[in-house]
Amino acid sequence: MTPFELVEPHSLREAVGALSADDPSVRVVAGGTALMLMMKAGVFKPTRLVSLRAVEAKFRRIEIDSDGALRIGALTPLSMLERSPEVKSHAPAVVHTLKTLSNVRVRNVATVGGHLAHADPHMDLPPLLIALGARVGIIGPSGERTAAVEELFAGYYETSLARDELISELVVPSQKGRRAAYLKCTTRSADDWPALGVAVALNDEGPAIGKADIVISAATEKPTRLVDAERVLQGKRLDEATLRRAADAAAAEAVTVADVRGSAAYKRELVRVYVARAIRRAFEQGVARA
Amino acid sequence: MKFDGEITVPGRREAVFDKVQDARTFAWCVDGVGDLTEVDGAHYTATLETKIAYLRFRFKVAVEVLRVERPNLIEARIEGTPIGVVGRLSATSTTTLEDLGGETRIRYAVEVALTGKLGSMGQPVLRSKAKDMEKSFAANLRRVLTAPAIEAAPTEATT
Repeated sequence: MTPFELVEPHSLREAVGALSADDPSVRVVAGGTALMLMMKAGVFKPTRLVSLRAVEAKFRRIEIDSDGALRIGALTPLSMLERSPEVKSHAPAVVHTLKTLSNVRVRNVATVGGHLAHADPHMDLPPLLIALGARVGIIGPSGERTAAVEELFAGYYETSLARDELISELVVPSQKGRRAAYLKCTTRSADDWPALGVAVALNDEGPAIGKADIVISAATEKPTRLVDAERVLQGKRLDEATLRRAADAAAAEAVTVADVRGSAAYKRELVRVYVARAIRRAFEQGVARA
Repeated sequence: MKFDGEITVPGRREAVFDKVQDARTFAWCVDGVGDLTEVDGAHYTATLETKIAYLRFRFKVAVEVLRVERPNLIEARIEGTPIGVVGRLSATSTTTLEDLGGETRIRYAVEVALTGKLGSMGQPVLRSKAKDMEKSFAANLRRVLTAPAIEAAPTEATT
């Protein structure tokens, strides 16, 4: 392995100072579960790694704010979300999703911020967080800003973050009155990278569906919202005909890509089947109380 | 995994064919190709480097020209060994040229197989880069066709 500099700042502000706006070989490392694989594979050779291991504990916490939003520090391990009563009551679909996200060893180490910043389209949480309307707090040399999780992903392994910006927290707005579900199709073991991930969040408006959010991932280059399928559901009662129309609309608009988990055509059919299943699953879930 | 597409460039088909067939010119047009060595008239070796986000994929490639029908068709086989990643790249490419009267349409079809860890990691990455590479190839080829001489081969891959 090529030698590199390792720095361990004690604050996120200090960490930002150790990053470089111009040099892609300077990277931040949190849990390291993804970055270390890239380094072992020889496709990333850092000159400097900025470890967040010693950064303030306030970035490893889960809170509910006065608006009922979940505020999760970027350095919170995924397993902490999985076991959190706050997450379970405010966004139960997140807990459900985490059960089959990789394995427990990875979830104990991988962080929320790293999971998002890695921008591998096979990640499970991004499509769900987009469907839930989540935002991220971002810290950089010129201060702090926020962005919708949906705006974060620019392509394969690429985000809209500048090289010297870091995710500081994740904010999931109150899901009161919403139903949500995430389903994935894996072609090997249950905790494998998915061939397709589908997240659905629905608002109740009397007997009809109000706002619908449908986001897919893994089969696409980045998490992708399916607006035509959302439109089919909006204002409709959920019956078999509506479900079929939404599934067909999803399959028609999804731009799927082939990989070792399946051809583009196979994944398009997966979209048709799994979007319908995910809508049904979301509808079967109880409405979030918090 | 199959990539195909077409680009239209200025110039008569024969002139475009000669440029595309010339290994040095072709290599110059593909971003990330370096260290081109001619083994004989039909065999070449080179390195190919492509970057995506902060990741860098490097290959040693061997190219064998299988069929040349001037000014219509070139077929080639490419065998690549990634540097640092376990796996192998095998590809066959077919390039056809169509005369549009002052312009030439180049159609290409590449069938790529990636094995080993490279297969799971590199296949979607390669696909996501393919359109970018096509765009830059077309731009570079247009430059070649309108420039009096070819510049030195680039040494650094561009994203």
